[in-house]
Amino acid sequence: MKDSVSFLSAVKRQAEQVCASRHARREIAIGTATIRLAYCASESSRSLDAFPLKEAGPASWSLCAWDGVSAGRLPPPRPWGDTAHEPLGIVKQFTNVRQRCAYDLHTQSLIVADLEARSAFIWYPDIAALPTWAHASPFRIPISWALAEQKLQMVHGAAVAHGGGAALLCGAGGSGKSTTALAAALGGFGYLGDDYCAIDSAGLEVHMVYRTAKVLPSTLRLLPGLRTWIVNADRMNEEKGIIFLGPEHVKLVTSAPLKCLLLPRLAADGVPRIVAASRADAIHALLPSTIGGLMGGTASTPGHILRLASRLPAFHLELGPDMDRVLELIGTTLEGRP
Amino acid sequence: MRYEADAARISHERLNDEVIIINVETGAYYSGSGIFADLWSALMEGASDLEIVQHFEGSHSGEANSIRADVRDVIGQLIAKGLLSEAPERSSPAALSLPDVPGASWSTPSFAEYTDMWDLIQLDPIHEVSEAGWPFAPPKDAG
Repeated sequence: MKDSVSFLSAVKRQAEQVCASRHARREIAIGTATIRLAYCASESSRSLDAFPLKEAGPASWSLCAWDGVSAGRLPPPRPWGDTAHEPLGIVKQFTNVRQRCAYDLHTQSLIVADLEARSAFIWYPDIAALPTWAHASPFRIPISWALAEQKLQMVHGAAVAHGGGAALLCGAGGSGKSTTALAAALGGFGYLGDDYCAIDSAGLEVHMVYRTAKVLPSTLRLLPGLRTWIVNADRMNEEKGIIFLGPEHVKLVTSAPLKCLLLPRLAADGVPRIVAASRADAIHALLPSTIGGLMGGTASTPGHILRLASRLPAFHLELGPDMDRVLELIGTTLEGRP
Repeated sequence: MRYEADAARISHERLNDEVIIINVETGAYYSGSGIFADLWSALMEGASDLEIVQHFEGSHSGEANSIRADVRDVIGQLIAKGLLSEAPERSSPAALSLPDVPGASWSTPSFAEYTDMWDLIQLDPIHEVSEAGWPFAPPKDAG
């Protein structure tokens, strides 16, 4: 316990020192949550451009991010062993009701949160060297913790809006969420995200977390108009293409009432259709990848997902090359006549 | 014997007739409904195996031996999967807050196990997917 408290204190002291120097600052709003970001990197980054364009009120959480490329900016030595973060990333011995510590293997970042002070700290070895996808969905883990405090749940899913309601597209990577969401956005639907959104399972609302999108070459073949928006088009043989979407591209929607869960899957015969899905189908489409992508989630994660699956109708959205028909099906389902 | 779930590793939630249990250490989750959900709720309230058997013998029609065997079998499975551990120091709950099930017949409680979460974790980030994903047609033998 003593080690735990002193490590948190050391991280906070360093964050304060780093933030005393030049840094970018931005307040973001996701649903009812507002987070003040302080971002101290050796060079400017697009990470802050990933968040919704929404006026934020007084911050309920703060998040400080910095990297170790300059002298004196290495984090305090970790008081745990090499594998203490396994398997999900959470360092269990240093995680309790007051604080959380984690290590993100994919970005090699250290994440520490002081839950009582509603503040989080994230350290990267070199922010400029992060892959583009990391800038497109930055600070996912600490933001999910900040949202949980506001009774919001970050979920692995895309969301699109039409006629005053939104559909949450759920499923594992490769099920067609991103492509469907982008096709819908290009077809005039509101866009709330292609990968992670925040949901309010009590109020049945969905909120944008990132105004970005990931693009595979196969998506580009279907939606070639996206090509000019991709910021890393020259690297698409190494990583997914990334788009930072603005109002000049598509209709961005920051919040919308949730009307249904759509579970995309490939139609065996290539003909798009809507098929009723069970509650168990919906839970299985949403829960594993949400939990897996958020280092196990929080204690409230299973409840949010159970409530969502219990309160909303769920449908398999069977996908095929006829994109117009897919969008028509999403529209009629949102209008309550699937 | 009484039992508990390790809060650091196990997240669980019951909503109406259904319960979800997540073992964030192994990357597996479990879901069940009806009698299984009642059994899990009773365990989380601190009821012993004997108290749970007595409750079900009063609330459900069925062979007492079957009820006893089923309850012990499910508790054994939950322990084997790391979801429960013995907690002899827990005290008996004043009363179990389980739904009334008038006229219910006993059926063996069961739960589903899903273990594909770890694969998804390994895939993250950017959810590496095959170039052959949607919108291409599935393999000819897919359906």
